[in-house]
Amino acid sequence: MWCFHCRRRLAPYIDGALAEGEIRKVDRHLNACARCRQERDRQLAVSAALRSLPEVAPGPAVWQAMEAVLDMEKRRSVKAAPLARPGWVLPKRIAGAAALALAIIAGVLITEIWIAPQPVLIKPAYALDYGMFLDGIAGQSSQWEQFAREYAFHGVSLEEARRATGFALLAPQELPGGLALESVHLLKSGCCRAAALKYSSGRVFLYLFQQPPGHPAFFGGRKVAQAPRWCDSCKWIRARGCQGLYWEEGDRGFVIIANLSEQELTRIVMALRAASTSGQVQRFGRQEGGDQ
Amino acid sequence: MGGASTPTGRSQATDFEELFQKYRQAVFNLLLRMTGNYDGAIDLTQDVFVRALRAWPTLRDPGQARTWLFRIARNVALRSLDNQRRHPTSSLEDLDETPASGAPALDDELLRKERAAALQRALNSLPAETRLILLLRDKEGMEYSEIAQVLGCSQGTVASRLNRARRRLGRKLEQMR
Repeated sequence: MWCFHCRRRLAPYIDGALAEGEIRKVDRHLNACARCRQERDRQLAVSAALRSLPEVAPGPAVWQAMEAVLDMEKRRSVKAAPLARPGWVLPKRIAGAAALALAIIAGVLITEIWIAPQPVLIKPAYALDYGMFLDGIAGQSSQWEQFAREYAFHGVSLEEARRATGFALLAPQELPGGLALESVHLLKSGCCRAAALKYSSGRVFLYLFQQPPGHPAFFGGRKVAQAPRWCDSCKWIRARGCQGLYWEEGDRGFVIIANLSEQELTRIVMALRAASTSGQVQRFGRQEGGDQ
Repeated sequence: MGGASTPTGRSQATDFEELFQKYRQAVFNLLLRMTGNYDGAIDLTQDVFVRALRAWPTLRDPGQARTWLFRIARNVALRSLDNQRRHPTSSLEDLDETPASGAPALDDELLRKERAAALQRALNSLPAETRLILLLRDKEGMEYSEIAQVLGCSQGTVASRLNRARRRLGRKLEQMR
């Protein structure tokens, strides 16, 4: 057996997945070849290292929350259960053609009759350039100038921001990982309000916008994906290279934009919505076991 | 799901709950090691079980539930990683955090955590499918036949991919020393 053949068989050899005859061949080669023995030992070490990776156990609250979501899903699937099969059944070919015709007609009707709601004609909230805002380069961009002409505060407290913007939803003081709110910058244009919040270590910059309900394109964003499972009125958007989530509550539309993953944005938005319902400000913080 | 029954006469709801209780930890740890992100892994774990719940009536052989579930986990993980690659984002937390200050850590414990962190960094640098096959075999202890079902390939392919994956990770670990 050559080294090439031996090395190709090392993984199943180590894992006991080789046939008897093959095992003997590999054994004989390994007895004679130091380099292949070295390779075998390297693979054994890799395997052992992976086995030694610690198991991480989320706290019970995590599993309880997950069970609640699964219960909700079970109830939803019961509601959406298909109707009982009718007593008559069309021949397959005719049924298929009828279904296709119906789909075409439905598609035409939907396109012509149901059009996405026209946005309310209000002055749009320009999505500021991320980098420029961070540098605070006021007056050097026409978009910023337009905003600045209306109303702009810098470096206000969260309480002042709440009064100025009238935001019912507030940004968290802390984010997971111990990131603390460092500064708040406010913007207003017409009926739109925006707050840009910078968290510690410069790692996170959340944009919160509020406006009358409308198309999230007003924030410079475009819809990119289906609504998240937990919110029918929500839209995932992408604005200025960042992920965003738009949702409506009552007579207001909100958008949060940040360069965070969908999962992390979801967690922040869900907590904010819960806080607005309960009238309290949600505080994030790392707890024992990592659950929240 | 309601009160539908499996061929054994037990309720589907009970069987699914057993599946959840039995494999939730393993699925979470697989997704944690695939993504290197604790919060992300929790959300992906939930995603996996929601999808599994929806597809539960299509599972013909309850004996294959484990590989069936891990196949869903694989698809969810790869989709999430692909999405991250297209739209890179900041992460609020990294997996290899330093221990919280307070009681001084024992040297052995600290060393163990550093090794785990180094191994996770090495894993993170590998392609997703390479990471997956290593975790399925060496962490989850799946047989080649089971891995083949999860990945949708032959056992021979599993053997050669695993060979390459271990060599690759071994070289990474040596480079990091």
